[in-house]
Amino acid sequence: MTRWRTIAALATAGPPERTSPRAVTRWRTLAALATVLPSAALVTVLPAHAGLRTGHAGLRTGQSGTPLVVVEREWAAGASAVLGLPAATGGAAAEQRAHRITDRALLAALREATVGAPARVTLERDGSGRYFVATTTPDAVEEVLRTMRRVAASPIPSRHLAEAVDAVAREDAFRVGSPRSRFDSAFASRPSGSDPVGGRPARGSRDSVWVVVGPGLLSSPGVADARARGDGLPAPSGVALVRSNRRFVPGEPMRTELPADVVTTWVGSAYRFASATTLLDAHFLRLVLEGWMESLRDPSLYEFATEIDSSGQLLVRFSASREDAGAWEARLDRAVAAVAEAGNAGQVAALMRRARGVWSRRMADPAACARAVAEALLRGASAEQAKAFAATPPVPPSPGSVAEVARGLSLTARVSYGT
Amino acid sequence: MFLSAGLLLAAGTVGVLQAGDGPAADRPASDPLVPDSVLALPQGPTLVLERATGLPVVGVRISAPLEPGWHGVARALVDQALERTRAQADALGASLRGGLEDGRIAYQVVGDLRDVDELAWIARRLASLPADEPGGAALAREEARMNRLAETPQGRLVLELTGDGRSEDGRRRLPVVAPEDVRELWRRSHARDRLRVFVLGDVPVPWLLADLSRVGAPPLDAAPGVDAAPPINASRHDARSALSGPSGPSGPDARKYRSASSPGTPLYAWSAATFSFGRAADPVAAAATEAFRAGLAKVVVPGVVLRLHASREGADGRLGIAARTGRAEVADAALDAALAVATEGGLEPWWQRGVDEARRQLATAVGTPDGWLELADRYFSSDARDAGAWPRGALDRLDSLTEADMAAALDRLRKTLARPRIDT
Repeated sequence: MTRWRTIAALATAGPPERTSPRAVTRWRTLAALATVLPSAALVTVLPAHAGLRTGHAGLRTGQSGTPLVVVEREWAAGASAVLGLPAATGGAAAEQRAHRITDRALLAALREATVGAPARVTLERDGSGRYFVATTTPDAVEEVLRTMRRVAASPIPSRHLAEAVDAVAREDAFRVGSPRSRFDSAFASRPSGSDPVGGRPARGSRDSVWVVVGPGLLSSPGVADARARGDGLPAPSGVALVRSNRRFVPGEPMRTELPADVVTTWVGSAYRFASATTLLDAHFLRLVLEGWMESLRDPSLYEFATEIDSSGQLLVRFSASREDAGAWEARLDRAVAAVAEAGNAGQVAALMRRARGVWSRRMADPAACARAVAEALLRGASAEQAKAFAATPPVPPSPGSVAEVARGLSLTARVSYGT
Repeated sequence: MFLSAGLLLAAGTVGVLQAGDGPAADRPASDPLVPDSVLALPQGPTLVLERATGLPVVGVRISAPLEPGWHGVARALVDQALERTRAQADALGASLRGGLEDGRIAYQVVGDLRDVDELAWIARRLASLPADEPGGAALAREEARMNRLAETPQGRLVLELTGDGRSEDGRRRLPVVAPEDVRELWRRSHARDRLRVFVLGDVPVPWLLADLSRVGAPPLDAAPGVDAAPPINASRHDARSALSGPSGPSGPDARKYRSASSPGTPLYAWSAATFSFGRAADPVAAAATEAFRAGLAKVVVPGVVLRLHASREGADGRLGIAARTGRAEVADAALDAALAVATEGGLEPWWQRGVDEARRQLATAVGTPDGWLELADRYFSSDARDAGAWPRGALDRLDSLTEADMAAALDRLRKTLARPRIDT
């Protein structure tokens, strides 16, 4: 309590003049939090253990109207409960850091609350959302879900916030200024051709979602109660889960080159999907593209990763040796064009088989399945659409429709760091 | 089809044990932590099937016994098997893994249920005869790996844990991994009647019999003049004795050893210990290990780095602990302090935490197909109705642990404690 009063006072009174660098870092972090929270909240709410509810989108959970989607599995040796929150992309650096702090503190609170239960809670982030994933047993999932909902609806204990502030400061001390971090920042704030991209969630997206996956859940009284209280999912009007801005007009992609004295070059590309592309089609195109690039891999390609961000764009990142980065850019462009080409249908069909295997393995894991359902919900899908997205066995799109999706891709921005 | 029909007829003589009836009948028949069927084929592998309705994937695991002291050869064998199947698995988007786990040589492939026949083919290839490898890349990789381990004190502790290498006249010697050793180990360990085949997925028993009953090498008793392998818990000396003798000029007795560079570390002194809380497949040992880990985190000796090594390769569940500091007597004292967590403190303050952590690890790992296959093998029993076996038996055991179990684990630690030199 005393500690938080001191910190709160520090945050509101200004930077300490003669104190340790660590204290200054903590003040900066708290000052950043103050940009998200009302300053009065920082002074009065934190010492009172009232938490950061106002600064943490999605913590209005456990109240009426909170969606809970139940995915029943006939056979499952495990079960999972997931709280999904929208991706914390865009916004000021201070806001980003506030999200990281509250996420970390919430994770600590969830872990503390589930000590003794056969459950492991992890935090996973990607361009689509932030996911608090509890992996547990079918016997325990109901209790774990109840505990998670209770914790998420309560103020985060201040000791967890204090530890999170320190941990994020430590993390930043190592990360900020590294070439990779600079590339990530540049790519996140990339310019685009005709309209701003990044940081804008899809229409119909939600503040938070809950998903539970396991066997025998629909007959579970606890889960049924939770559904009765909060299963009020509004049905979106369409089935297209990757949404495009109607104002977008494909044009010359914006290219940003950031010279740096580094041995590795990072390249990030953002592609916009054609309107009405479904999320499943988008993911299968992503997997096919990954398979195509993997088939070309040689030691000069260090990393290759794809994701679909919260605004529904396909992001492709890779790092390569400085000498070969240009060649890999060209190969990526050729790969996108090749998947779209009708003459390559055989090759695309073979890669679709690989994609189907990867997708099935993902859906066989209750935690990954729950996360996939949460992703679809955060993008505005109805409960039924989200369940269909994570159906087992998956019903993959045809190779022809994946090629069609590739034909609709438009490169909107490319950021190259270390050229 | 002919093969399938023949095997179906043969199944009449196979010992097929169904879970859910017999002594453990109080378990629900659909308990996913106990396999549906265990089939003991005469002259063939033991087949374990968990019929997972609705699971979109099928997973196949094949495991063979690992003989003590043969870790390096076994790793090269696995490396070769993965190399020859990787492209097929990638084309299906299947996961492929292999390694030494819990005293067994194990291979595992998991992929889409619709690719079930190709997955079975990959599994058969994993356990098939290692071909003469051009360039011997797997052998070279294993040799380089052992060289790297021998060059550092912590690496030498790992060699102690796995039984690779030996000391002669104060000099460290490592086994030469020769192609004939790899084939010899395959012939012995992958003999069909010594293999276990686990299948998780929505496939019927006839498919299992048709596709996976003839994996690996011919059964051992079909090859005259070959001894039965030593029991897995035999000491290394016993194992070598048992493996030598009538196995012919290309047998294990012909293995060569080479000198290894094992430089000292002038700036640091090291102290090390190896011990076991129990076999890898013993839930009590898992709980004691986690309790010890929790207690060790509280041991802070200024200027000393303490590190626990838990090798998952052997069946004996051996752990290693190393202390590094500037002076030998300080390193020894720090190691004593670390061991005192168990030998004097008795683990009591951390026992419940260890039990909880072991239960959490087991319960969360078994929920994925890969985890289910691995844990079904670790807690295997030839009887599907064995209430103390399988992941369910292990979880039940963890739920009922008492302080007497902790005392038994500590007793095993005292009996197995050794202090190997790892400075050079």
